[in-house]
Amino acid sequence: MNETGNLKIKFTLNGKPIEYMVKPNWTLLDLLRKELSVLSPKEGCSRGDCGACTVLLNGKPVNSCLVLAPQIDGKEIVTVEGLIEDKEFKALKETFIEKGAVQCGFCTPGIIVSAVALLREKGNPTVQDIEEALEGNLCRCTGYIRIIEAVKQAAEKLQKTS
Amino acid sequence: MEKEIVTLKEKLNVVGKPKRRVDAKEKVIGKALYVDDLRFPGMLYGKVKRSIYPRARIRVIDTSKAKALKGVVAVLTAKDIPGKNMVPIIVEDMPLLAEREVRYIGEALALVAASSKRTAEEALKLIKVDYEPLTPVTSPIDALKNTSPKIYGENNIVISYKLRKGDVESGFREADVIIEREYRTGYQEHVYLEPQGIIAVPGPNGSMVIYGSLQCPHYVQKAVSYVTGIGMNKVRVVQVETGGGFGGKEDVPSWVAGYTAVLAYRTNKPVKLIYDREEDILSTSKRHPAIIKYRTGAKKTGELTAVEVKYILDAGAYATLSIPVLWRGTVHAVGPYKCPNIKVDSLAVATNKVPCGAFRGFGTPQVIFAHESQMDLLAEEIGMDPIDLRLKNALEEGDQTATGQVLRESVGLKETIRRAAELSNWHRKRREYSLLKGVKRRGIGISTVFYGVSLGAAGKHLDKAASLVHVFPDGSVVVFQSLTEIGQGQRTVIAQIASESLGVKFEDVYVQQADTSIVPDSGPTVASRGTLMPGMAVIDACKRIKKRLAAVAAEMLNTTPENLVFENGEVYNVYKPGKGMLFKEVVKEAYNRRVNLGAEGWFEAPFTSFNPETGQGEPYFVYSYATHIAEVEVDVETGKVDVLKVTAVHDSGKIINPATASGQVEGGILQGLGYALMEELQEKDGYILNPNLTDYLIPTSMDAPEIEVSFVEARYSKGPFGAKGIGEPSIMPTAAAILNAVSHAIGVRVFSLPATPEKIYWTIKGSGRYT
Amino acid sequence: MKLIPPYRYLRPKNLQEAVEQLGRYGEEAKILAGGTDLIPMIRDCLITPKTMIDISFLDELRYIREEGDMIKIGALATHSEILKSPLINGKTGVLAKAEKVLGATQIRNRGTIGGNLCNASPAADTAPPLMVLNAKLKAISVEGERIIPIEEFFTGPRKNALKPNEILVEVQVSPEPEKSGSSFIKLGRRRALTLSVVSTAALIVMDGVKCRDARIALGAVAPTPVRAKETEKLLINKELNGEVISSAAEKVVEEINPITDVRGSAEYRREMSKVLTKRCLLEALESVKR
Repeated sequence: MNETGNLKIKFTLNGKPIEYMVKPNWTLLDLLRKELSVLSPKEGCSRGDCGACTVLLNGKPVNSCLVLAPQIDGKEIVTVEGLIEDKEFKALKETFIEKGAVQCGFCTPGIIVSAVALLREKGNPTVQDIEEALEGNLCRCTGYIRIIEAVKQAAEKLQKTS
Repeated sequence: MEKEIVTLKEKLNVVGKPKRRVDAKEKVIGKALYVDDLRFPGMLYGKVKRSIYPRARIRVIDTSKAKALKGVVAVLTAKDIPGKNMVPIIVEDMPLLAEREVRYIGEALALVAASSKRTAEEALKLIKVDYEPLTPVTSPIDALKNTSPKIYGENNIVISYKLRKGDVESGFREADVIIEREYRTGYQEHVYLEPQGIIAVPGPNGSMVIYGSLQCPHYVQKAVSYVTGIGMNKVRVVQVETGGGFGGKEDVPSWVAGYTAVLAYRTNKPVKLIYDREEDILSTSKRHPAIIKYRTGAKKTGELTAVEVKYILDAGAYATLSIPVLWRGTVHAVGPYKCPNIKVDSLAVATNKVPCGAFRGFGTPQVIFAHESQMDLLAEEIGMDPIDLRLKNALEEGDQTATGQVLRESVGLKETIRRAAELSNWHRKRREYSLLKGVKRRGIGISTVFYGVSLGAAGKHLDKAASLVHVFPDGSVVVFQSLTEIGQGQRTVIAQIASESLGVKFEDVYVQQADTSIVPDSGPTVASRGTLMPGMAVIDACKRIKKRLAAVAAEMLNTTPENLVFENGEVYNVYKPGKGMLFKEVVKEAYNRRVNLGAEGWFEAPFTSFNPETGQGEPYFVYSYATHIAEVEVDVETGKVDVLKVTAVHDSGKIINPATASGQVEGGILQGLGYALMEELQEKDGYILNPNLTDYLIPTSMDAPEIEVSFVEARYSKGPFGAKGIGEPSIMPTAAAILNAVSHAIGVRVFSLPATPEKIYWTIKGSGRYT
Repeated sequence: MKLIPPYRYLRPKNLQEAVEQLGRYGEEAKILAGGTDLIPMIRDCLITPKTMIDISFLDELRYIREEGDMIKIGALATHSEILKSPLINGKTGVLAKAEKVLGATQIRNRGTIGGNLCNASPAADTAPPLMVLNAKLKAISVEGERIIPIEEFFTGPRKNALKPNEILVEVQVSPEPEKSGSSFIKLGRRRALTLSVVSTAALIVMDGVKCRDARIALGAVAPTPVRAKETEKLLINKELNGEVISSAAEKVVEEINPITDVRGSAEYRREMSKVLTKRCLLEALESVKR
């Protein structure tokens, strides 16, 4: 920490090592969006109620609005930008587009992140598993039906290919 | 699963198919850019200082300390507004910034622009407002009393309507049964996932560009011109990717853009203003709370003889959209039923609360809750199945609506009822659920509605749409139109219509997002008009281009234009299929011949009328219809409701895209479920107690029921390929169907929304039916 | 809702350093762990810490292990870790049940058991199960270490018994006894990601048909989570059946003191306390391993 109270942190963002001077009162979401122009996590409520800012922290979905920037020192952060070549993401991308699981799209990156984490943990999730995995990601447009179907179908596709 | 709709009359290649959304990929890969994702060089951050009193006189606003703060570039109050201090909505009653008096908590008083959001927020704290608090009026019933302070006009009434048909008194005399009840409904907050946001960028020659999350670019253009004094020709509004609207981004962006534009004008810098969630809930429009007194008379055999309705909306502090909301609610107050004798009186009443506005359904879900509860009470009273009662009274082609309008075409209502009953196994479940005992009871309930598509007689001067279509030398097509994509799939549907009309491949059509500098004023993206109105305008433009191309192609194929078929990127002689040419070859030749392949399209809404004295006329040019059947399980010891399934059958005319149309219905149902059971904005003395998503609850993935969607496609001859509208009918029947199902389950009725577990619990407890 | 104001940020290298820092900054400092409760509280201006001591890096406080006849949970164990722990699921199922319905996945991945307790919300979902498990909470400060029985830990809404210089480091519970059964029920206003209107945990120990021990705790019905000891007495040494349980559940209203807020009225909470207590006891009885 320097005299202004800023401190330098090191972390990996989407696989790339980063060193950055942060203010202690920035959230991870502030750091990603405002400082690093990683724009897929969205700010919908700033208090962990909506899930639009969901990212992976050491592989687990968290609300980036509820993590303070200095807390990610030494950790791995992954957003949709870093999932493009990921096999779970690719499957989800296809099924989300195919099923029309996207409407306004503001919640979509957060939902995709939660779904990737689910598919990595459970290859063959039940509908109940999917509903639970997405319970922290609000969507106001779709009624969730197509999202749940898309995740289910992505899981099935992955099962077939593996 | 969407079924592809095959029609025998005509072969459609693109329309009627579940085409993939044109915007899905960008959104999935996180590349879609929303307003907060945009940045401009030198951009400042705006913030709004808001009233903390529901009603107060403003003595002084002292901005000196805020101005002195390092990083603050401007602190503005009403006197700094370069144009008119007025937001133009329907009537001019709402200032952009309050000057002498504040009329609701959250009303804007002053604006700040600073080099960072944090500095802007600090500056807000340094603005000192000296208030003289006044007694607020926070209930419409109080506002109507003679003794009430006058907070709006002479009598606190923002607007009133009446509708008279036949003679209700004699109608009630003829009735064997009369049901009279009062219903109440609460606020509903839109909770579009993306809060309100605008960026205003000053340009050369005193121009201004507005980028924003919005539904109605032409409204915003007018408002920005008003408050800045810049001519409309120099105000350009570009809609960027918008994270949901549902009516909440109909009028509100006009003032969000107003604040931002005034700041940009005064600082001559780009200014970004993004609401936080709490600010959004506190200060933006919502669905109106309502009180509905309903009296229904009917014969023992079920025919309605008279309906009398008194409908009161809590408008909040300014008129904004209460005028058309109340009008639509009045016209729809009787529901999709035949009834010879009708009397409807409606009022929108001012209170010292946040102004209510547009929310999907626009004044109808409140009255639907009432009329559909009444229908079930009536069915019970006369011992008739609720489906049979509805079928007995439902409108058919040739019937007259409450306003005396004869329905000449496209009335699929009865088929929606019959099909919903069949798909849901209504009769079996109605019987079986009635026999259940114990703690968990099940019920099945129905609700059926009609919805006048587009703006209707009250907004007829706005009801037109334009388009521009260009075909490029490579055969690709761009479509400009200025209704907005806000998640519903509008751009995809327009692309399908253009593709079908020109006979080009769907993939070769690109639909631009709305930009007021390109497309003539096409009215707002509201009232489920996003397919029909611009769809017709796009068809019009495509026809013009096709005519020019056909002249070229006819020569090339040695035939006459009438014999040509444009289909799927090919052009051929109908009598010589398989020997045609590629569309792009014709285009290339047309370019060689200097044929203009750009065209403007235009569509004016068909005839509508309304007599303000009697409420009679043809308020809308066509109606959509829908029936929802809900199945629920109620825990009678806690009042908790699980919605098990909703069966939704919609007549929205020809369905252009079954996937996006189903998506609309599914999303509408979940919003309706929230409205029915959990969405409760709590207000006390003008203060909102739960302005966050921790305590204003919308349904999660865990709350989603099974949903089955089916379409009855009663085509409308003046709609694109026979399409009507679907956005709003999607939500309209849901809450009433759920409440009817709850009543079926527990044997008692809840008369107000939302029916929270607690409310249901006390209803059960008070009924004495359960011990 | 406001932006987070600046503060002094301290990141101790180990527990010892954390204790020293807290000793130095005491009242003006806040311990930062998962942040899932703390950040919304700061945004709501309910607290404005001058100093934040970020203990989230202290892996020495992140564990779930069995030691002798005790299960020890480090204060930084996340809700997800506890929920997925075979030890917790096998031996203190009542806690696992509560963790499953706490917040949503994202919150459970970040929020810690220590944070949930220290935040001392009357509606904290881990409190009732830990109360029926007779949890002991280990706190340390520069003065040394102290064990606080969970019943003495909550002192008011958002108030706990920690001294300004104390850090909660460990939660200790005994496994659910043999021949016992337990349950946790949460009543919220939707099916997920919702704060409790009422929550109830119960644990009963049976001796044949008789109840040897009964413990009941409730959340969101008093200024703090509460044990319902008088209700418990009505069950102990009784043959448990539906009737005994129902009549005992009526008693529970005498041991709570609910308020009316945006989530529910006091009257409804009283009624639901009875219903949930009854259901919880019946489920606990059902789950007794015989």
